[in-house]
Amino acid sequence: MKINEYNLSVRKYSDALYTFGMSHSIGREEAEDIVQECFAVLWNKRREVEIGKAKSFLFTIAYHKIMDVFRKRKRNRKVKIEVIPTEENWEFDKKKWIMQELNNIPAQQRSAILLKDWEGYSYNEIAEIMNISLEQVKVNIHRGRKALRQKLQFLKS
Amino acid sequence: MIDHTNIEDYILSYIDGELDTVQSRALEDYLQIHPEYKDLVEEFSTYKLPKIEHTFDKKDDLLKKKKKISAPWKPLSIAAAVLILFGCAYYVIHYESSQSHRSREIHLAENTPQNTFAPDPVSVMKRDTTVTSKGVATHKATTAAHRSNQTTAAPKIKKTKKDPMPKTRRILTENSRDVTNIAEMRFAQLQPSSIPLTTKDYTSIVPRAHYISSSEMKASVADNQDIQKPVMRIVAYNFNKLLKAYDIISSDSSDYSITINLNKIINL
Repeated sequence: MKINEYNLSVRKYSDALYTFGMSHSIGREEAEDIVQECFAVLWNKRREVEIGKAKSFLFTIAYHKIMDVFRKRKRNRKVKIEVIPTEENWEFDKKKWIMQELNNIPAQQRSAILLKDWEGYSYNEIAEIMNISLEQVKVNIHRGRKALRQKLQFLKS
Repeated sequence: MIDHTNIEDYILSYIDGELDTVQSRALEDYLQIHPEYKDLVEEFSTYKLPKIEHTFDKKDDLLKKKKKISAPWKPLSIAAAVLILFGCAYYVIHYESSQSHRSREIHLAENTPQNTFAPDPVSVMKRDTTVTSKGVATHKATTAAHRSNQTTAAPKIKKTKKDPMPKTRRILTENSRDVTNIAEMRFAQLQPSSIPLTTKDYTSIVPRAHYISSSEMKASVADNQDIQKPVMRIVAYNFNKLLKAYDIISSDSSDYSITINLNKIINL
């Protein structure tokens, strides 16, 4: 990968990586740090990584960094404040509720769903990024979606 | 095989576009038979994550600038240019000094007054060619030709102000014709017909201004003394050496005896 290709990757994928980090509700600063770390690794390994594989390479690193953050958080878990939707604002705030509930499902399921819905990766690609089997990806995504549906149905009811 | 236990998974895979055409058709057929699951498809579709975009503001910090590659040829080209400049300067200075030196020689040769005490060069030449060997005669002829060329074909070049020649060398150069004339005259007087002299012998005996290196000669010239005496002395000294070589005088002669011998020759 040449310098201009690396710079192209920064312009193209930094927003997506940042959004991916932010979607895991890890905080703005941590998300920024993760993006910077991802590109630092990419720069160091630019001779090995081709431009066509830069995106999945970056998301792989980002995913593992996010998992590291979650591992650290488990030690001092904070109490989550949830906003319960009402019938009046359900449709209006649906997007917000979905994202809120997304944070309540396991991180691995969340990551798989985010990679599928936002980045459009196939199950195979997600398996590669998350370093898990295809079947595990399938299970994670389906479980996550079902859990999301259940929680939102519960909130709606 | 699709049934009520795995229909949700099939629907989710269908929504995600992970089913192939055969599986998709099988699901669609199953939904035709079981329309109650059609709502499930719509429901799951609504739970697909809405696209949210955050903008990363620190892109500029991540961008890398292309390093300006310092061309390896650049310092080399500078060094080469400097060398060429020095070379040119050296050539110009050296060329000018050599030109001025040459022009001065030509100028002096043109302006040098005729030697008053020297014998007529023509007569000397005649006498020499009769007395000396063939080699000596040819040498003298070429010297004369060279001298005449210098005087006739000399281009007029302006004299430079700076005089890089040392004083001794300058005086000798100025009096080069006198030195040669004196030497030739003395040689003619000393030349015994019995000794067959070669060109080498002649050049070793007759000192020419440019080859004189005797300290005595230099000292005399430096003091602006008459150059006749030291020239004769050198001729006599060289001649004496020659006589010694031809065993005309004893090789065991001491410096003192040689000096006496020399004085006798000088006072001929």
